[in-house]
Amino acid sequence: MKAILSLLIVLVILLTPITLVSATSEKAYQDYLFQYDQYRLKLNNFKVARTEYLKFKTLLAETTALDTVKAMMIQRNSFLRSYLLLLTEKLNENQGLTPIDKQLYQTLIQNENTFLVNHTQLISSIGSISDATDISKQLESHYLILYAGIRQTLTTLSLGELMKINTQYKNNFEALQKLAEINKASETPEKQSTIDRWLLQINNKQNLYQQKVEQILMSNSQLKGNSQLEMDELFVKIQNNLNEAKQYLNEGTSFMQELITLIQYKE
Amino acid sequence: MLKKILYTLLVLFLGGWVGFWVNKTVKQIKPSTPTTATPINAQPTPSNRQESAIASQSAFLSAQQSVASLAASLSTLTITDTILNPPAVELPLGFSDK
Repeated sequence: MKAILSLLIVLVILLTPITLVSATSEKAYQDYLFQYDQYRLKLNNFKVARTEYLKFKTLLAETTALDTVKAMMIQRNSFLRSYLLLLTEKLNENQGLTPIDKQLYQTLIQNENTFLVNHTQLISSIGSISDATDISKQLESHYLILYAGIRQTLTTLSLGELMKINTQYKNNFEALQKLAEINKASETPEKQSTIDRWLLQINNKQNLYQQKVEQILMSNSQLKGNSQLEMDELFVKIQNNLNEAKQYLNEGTSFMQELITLIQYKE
Repeated sequence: MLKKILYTLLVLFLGGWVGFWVNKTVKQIKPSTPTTATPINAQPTPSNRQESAIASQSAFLSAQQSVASLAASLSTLTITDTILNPPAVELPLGFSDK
């Protein structure tokens, strides 16, 4: 009985860190979904009140429109902030990014978060429909900067996933090089020549991957546009490049598997 | 009493037979599941080839396992996390006749 209890305690201790790591972004995601529901609700209330106000122009309709627009604007900011928090958690959990890269994008997100906090404080001082329109325009004019930051962070997260795999790829390449070196004496010159050629091709795939990543980094750092649509189009191009980079690693890995088979068997 | 039992048995038998017939007909009507082609392995394992001396060494086995692990990581890698699509918000308030 004691042994089972001890085993259970050890299992709980061992599994706790794993659960904590995945729980953070999961919790942020659940909060994001909740904030989204709240935003949709308050947006609908506001739209009903706005229609009434534009139709009847009564004082009561104006008061209701004012109350609902303030509630909607505050919730809109909360919703955006919950998304930024989700991105922060995803950056924290990403295993391929360097601490410097993480810090860079976390600072970017933090700046956007500060903008939203300050903007929310302004909303509470709104006293008329005209005020609401003016204060909302502050977010509207800033939104492209926020959107570019979001798109850049998303690309960085994808790059982090690829970089993690690339580290694994490089380690495998080094191990295969060593293996070929150890085995050199026991192979025929023809087979040795084939092994060398294949290793070169595996390395070439990694070089092509690296070039693609450099291209992505350049495009991502210069990501900007005059509209969300324009930025979305640039983002799609970056995504295509990310897929191409992944394809290079795929092809190189396939070569590695062939090389393993070549080494495994005699002529 | 015996009549009742016989009637019940007859009804059950007929019901069962009708059920069986309907089931069989439905099965026939159902479109047959398309047969999936068995993928042809691009690299068939050479069964009659002799393994080299290095194939049993720990360095080789470790490299083999590591490459398999890399291939598995790549196959499960998703570049785009769809839950992270940017939030859709409506920006202009729409009080057009301000």
